[in-house]
Amino acid sequence: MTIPLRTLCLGLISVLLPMLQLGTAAAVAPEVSASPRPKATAIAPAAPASTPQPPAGPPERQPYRIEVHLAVDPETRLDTLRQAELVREWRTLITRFVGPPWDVSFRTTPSPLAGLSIESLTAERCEELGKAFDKVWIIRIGLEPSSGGFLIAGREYDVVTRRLGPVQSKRSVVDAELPRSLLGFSLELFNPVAVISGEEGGKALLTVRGAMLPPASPIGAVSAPGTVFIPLRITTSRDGKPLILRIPFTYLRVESITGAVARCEFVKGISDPLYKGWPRPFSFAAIGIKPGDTPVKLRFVTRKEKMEVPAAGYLVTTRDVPDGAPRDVGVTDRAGRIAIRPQFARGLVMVRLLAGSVEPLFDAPMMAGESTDERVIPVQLLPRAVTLETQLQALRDEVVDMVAIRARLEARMKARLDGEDWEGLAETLKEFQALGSREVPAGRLKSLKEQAQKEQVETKTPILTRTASAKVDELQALIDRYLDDDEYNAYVEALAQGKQGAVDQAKVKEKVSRKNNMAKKVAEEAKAAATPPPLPATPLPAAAPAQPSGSAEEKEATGAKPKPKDQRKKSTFPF
Amino acid sequence: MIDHPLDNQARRPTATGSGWGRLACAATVALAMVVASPIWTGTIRGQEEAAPGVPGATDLLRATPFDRITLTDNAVILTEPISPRPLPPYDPKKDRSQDPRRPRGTTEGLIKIVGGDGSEPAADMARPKRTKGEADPIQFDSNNYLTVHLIQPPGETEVRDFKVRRFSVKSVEYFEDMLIAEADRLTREHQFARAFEHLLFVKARAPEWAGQGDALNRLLFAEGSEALLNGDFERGVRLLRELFERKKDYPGLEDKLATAYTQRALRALQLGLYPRGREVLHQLEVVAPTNVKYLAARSRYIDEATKRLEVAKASTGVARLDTAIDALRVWPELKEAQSLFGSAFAETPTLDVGVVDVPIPLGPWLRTHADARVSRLLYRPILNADDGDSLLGKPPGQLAEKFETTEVGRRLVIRLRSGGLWSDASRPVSSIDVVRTLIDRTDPNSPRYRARWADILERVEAPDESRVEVQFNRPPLRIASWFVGPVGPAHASEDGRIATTGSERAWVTDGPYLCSGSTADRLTLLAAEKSQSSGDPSSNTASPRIRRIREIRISDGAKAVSALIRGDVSLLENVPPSQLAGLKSNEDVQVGTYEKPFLHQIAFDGRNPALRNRSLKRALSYAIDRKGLLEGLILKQPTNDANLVSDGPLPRGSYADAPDVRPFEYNPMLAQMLLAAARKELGGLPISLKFEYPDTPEARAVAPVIAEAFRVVGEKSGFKVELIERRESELESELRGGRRFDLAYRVVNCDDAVVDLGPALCPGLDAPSTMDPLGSSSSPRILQLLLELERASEFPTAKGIATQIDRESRTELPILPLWQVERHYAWRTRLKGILPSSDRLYKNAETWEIAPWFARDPWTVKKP
Repeated sequence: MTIPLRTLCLGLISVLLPMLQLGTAAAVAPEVSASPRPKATAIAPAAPASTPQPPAGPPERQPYRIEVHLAVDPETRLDTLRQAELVREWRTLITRFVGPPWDVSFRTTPSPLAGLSIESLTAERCEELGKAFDKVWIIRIGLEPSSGGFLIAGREYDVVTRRLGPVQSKRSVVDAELPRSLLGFSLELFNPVAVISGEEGGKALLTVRGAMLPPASPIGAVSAPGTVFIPLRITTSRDGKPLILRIPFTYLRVESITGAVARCEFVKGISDPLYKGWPRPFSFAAIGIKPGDTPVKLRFVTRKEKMEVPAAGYLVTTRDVPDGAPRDVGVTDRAGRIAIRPQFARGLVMVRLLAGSVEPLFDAPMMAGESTDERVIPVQLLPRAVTLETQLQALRDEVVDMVAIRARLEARMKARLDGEDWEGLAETLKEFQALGSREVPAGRLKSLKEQAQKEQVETKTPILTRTASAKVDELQALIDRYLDDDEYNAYVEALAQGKQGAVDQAKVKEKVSRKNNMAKKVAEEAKAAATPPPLPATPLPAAAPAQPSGSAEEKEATGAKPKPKDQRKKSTFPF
Repeated sequence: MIDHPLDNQARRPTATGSGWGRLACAATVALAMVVASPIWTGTIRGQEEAAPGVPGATDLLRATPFDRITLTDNAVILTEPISPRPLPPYDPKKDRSQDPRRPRGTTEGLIKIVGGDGSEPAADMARPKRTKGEADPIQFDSNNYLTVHLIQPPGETEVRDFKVRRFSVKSVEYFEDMLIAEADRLTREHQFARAFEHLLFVKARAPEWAGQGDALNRLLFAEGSEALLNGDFERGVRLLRELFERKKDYPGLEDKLATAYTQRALRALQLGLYPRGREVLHQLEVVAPTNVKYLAARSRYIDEATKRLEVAKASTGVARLDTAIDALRVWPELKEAQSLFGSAFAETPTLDVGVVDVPIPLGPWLRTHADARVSRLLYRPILNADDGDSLLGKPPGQLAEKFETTEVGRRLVIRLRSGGLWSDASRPVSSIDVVRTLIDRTDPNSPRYRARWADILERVEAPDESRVEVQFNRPPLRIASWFVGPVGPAHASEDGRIATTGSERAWVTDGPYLCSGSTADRLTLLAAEKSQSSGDPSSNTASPRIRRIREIRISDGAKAVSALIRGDVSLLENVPPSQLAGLKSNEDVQVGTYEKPFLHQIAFDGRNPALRNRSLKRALSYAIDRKGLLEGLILKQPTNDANLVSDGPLPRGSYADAPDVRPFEYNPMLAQMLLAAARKELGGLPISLKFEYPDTPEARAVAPVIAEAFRVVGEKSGFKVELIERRESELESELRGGRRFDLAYRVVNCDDAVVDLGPALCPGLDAPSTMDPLGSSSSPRILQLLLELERASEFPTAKGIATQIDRESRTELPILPLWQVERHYAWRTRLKGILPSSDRLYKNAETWEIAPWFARDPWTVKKP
């Protein structure tokens, strides 16, 4: 770090340390009704920017001293007079809608950053602008080539945290709309700063600068529920130089605000973002961030034989925080690169890198347009886990097919049984049997699992990952639930009984007919003997009707059609 | 006049009664006759009105056959068809009943009632007495009497058999005549089909009936004339020719035929359909060889041919041959043109090739089958093949003299042969051309871009004109396979063309042929001069004997085969399997086989989220009856070892073909269920996909059936498929370029699994990253394996990965494999030197020879 320690320390001491000392007591401080410094509603743009007064009072009551570096492209045909009028109208709107929290000044002298494009600005270049202000807005008004209107683009540089915000842009169709567009643009550009004053119930407590200054309208509030902050660790290096470190893959999302204290949830990709075991003195601060218009450029790499190998061909998905549905962004290219365009990330999103469409290799939050720079993310590839998951998926497909075919055959068996088509039932049972029993997929699953466990121990690489284990469990449940052979066995039993019943019925029929014949013979003989004819023997029913109730033994005895043991209601198909 | 055969029985006692009784009877009969006349007529009318389908109804075809008899008193009676038909002529002289000397009764001549058994009539009282049982010979003479049976209206049971005296019959109108008259009427009303039915009915009833032949002639003439007027030449001429065969001298027939034929022939001449025109003229010649119109039309043809012949005489080289062929195409029997053609063909032997598609656009790249076919004719590769001889620089047609790898395969040194010139003769082929080609392959904006090459290439240098050094990021496997493609000229643009002073941009090539013209349907290649094609001293090959190759696009398989049989083309690139047996039996044609089978598949675009859905892909796979389609639509015979259903992306017999892969099943029921599941998984919205297929014969036959199968299984799920036919070259080059699609029917070779598996499974694998080529793989797992395969540095590892890909493709379904089919080419026997089995069509094309031949009309060829 080559930044003069004196400069940084001054900044930190003057702004952050008082805030850190402030504690939560500041949250309940009484409101101040007036702005600490009255603003001129109409400042002539040609007039020199007023030198800001040093901040006074507690930070939550201090306004943000903002210097605007406005540049207007000559192609816009906005002359000096019109520009002055534009600035005046813009300031009027700021005063009307934002009010005390912002203390906006316009730089009248040419900006040293005038020759640079918005995208190519760096924090180092912005440091040259000095520390007289809290924030510097570099804004350009140019022509929007597609619509012929105006395009406002700009970035915010936060002097204290030395962070350059994302590129923001806004379109304005006509000249008359420009002041209003500039106001909207300013609101998108502005990012508040805060001190992380503690944690409570898994939430971070932030004391936001200027939060106690009453805004002129609700849209002028420095922070509101939903505002996102980036946590920063403020510490020193080994040689005592101050360091401001961004805590990676962590964001704080405001849930509620009480006074100047914002209660934020952690949106994080690491386990303990506010790690307390830091070897040197430290404190935490935060700076707000709003989604930018530039794509998030990522490059996923992995290490293989001490070489950096791009993680090519992996699927990247995004999901809006907190509960958005995942969307496929695309596949990393041969260099492991992918750009997440604004349509896939309009705010804070969870970015996930998936292998084989299921195994997450990376899962962390990111803010759209946070930086124009490419971010290199090392990941650990899990080829063996993916292989296992592929095999599980293939096995699952087989099981699903088997379940579907079984369901069809079971329906057919039921029809055969109802129609007492024993031969048809036997054929269908044979077909069913040809599909294979549940032991086959169950055995394969078991073998896959055991092999993976063994390999995992031997190679000491994760194979049965959380995803893979979940898949194993899911497949096991699928097999257990849908591939039981009880129904099949019941039909086999029913077939045996049915066949036996048919034989019994035939025997009974034969017996009955024999009896009838005998009775006839006797009657004829009696008739011949001129004796009164005897009553005919009561014939047995040819086929005993199925009893609606009674024990299984009774049904068996009567030759009633047996029912499968287990005809419980199942869901039709495991999709 | 009419005797009722049954009435006489009842009346006999009266008749044989007293004279009063007899008088009373006569008076009754007379009264009856007075009343009868109008009654008869009225009865007939009543029949007509009351009984549809009986005589008198308007539709004779439906009516019960009847005859219409007009009596002398103009009474008309309808009877059942009388017999004999027609009646013999009536001779009054033989009718003794007319003898004035003959005694007659008071009622005689009006009506005669006889018994059913022919007993004596009751009313004929004037006749002299005869002995009992003696029959009156006059009564039973067929010359004198006619027995009729009146048409009985339905429901009536009264017997109405009568005998009518011939002298009382004024006329008899037979049913057949009525039919013929009706046919004539219908003919006049242009209802030819109905008229023909009537005549057909006559023919069925009485084959020899007089007048039906004439009526048919009239019908044929009228119908034929009408057809000609309506522009239906074929039908009109057929009818008139039929008439011509029936009656040559039919008035106006010859003139009509001559007019029709000549008009047709002259129209064909205008349209350039000369064989058809000559055929028409030939047909006319048979009919009217001396007809003036025929002679005039024939002269027109000969004049046209002669005109072209004159142009041919004035031309030189290729133009001379083409115009001579033009002249012969108009009139093949022009002797002078024949001799001129012979000499011109000897100067420029020309081979016409029928191809499925020509390369569009043509350039130094390999994107389609057409590019691969033509490339070697135009451009010399660095290496002839990925084999040991090529690496040692032995094959004559390659650029590399020496090919060395160092640094464990990461560095490559190519030493080039010297002496070869580019076709524009501007400079020799040198290292800078190779460097430009290799670097162009790494430029995403170049049409020659190949992402896999860009991924491995680190640096290319040309230390001198004959040496190229290539440095790789990692040692590539099958390194030689990257150098078998064409090398374009460094001084030309990316498409290998340069601007000339003319309006066209010329192709600059260094192969045995150069491109003289490329259109959407035709590609013309001319043999290069020896200095260019065999520029390298090591080459002993002479300039190609066939001086010109013309590729003609005929995408329809049947038409292509017809063109080969007719002789319009002498070589056919692709013979549809279903036509193979027919061609093999033709003695003028020989059939060759490509060494490697072609794999048919349906590619998925993974950039469409629906097509990454596993259930959907599995449903589509289950919906295809692969074996049925292959046998029923493509082979039209049972499958065999060379033509069989695929079980994966690799052909059977490939070194990486996984042996234990289950074949794909056909289960429409399961497909239906999976499709329903897919819809559910994709959010419940109906799935709609576009299915693009090339215009090759096989794809045309199969793709609509596959789409229909998809529709059937997806009917309940709202699954929709839109079929789109595309030109093969366009479709394949667009897919290779990374264009988005849904489903695409592809035909690919997978000769070498390590090299070809990637593009076979993921069509846009080599496309620039802006097209998201890796995203086009519908299976992330297979994509990972493909990338792993690319990075493999040892062959056993690569082979293992390729086998794994083949195995896992069964369940991952990155594509839908369909079948592998052996492909054939065919040529006419006048083409010599072509190999019966080859890996590419134009192998050794420089040594081929072709005999002159032009298509003659079959009727002019004398059969041995």
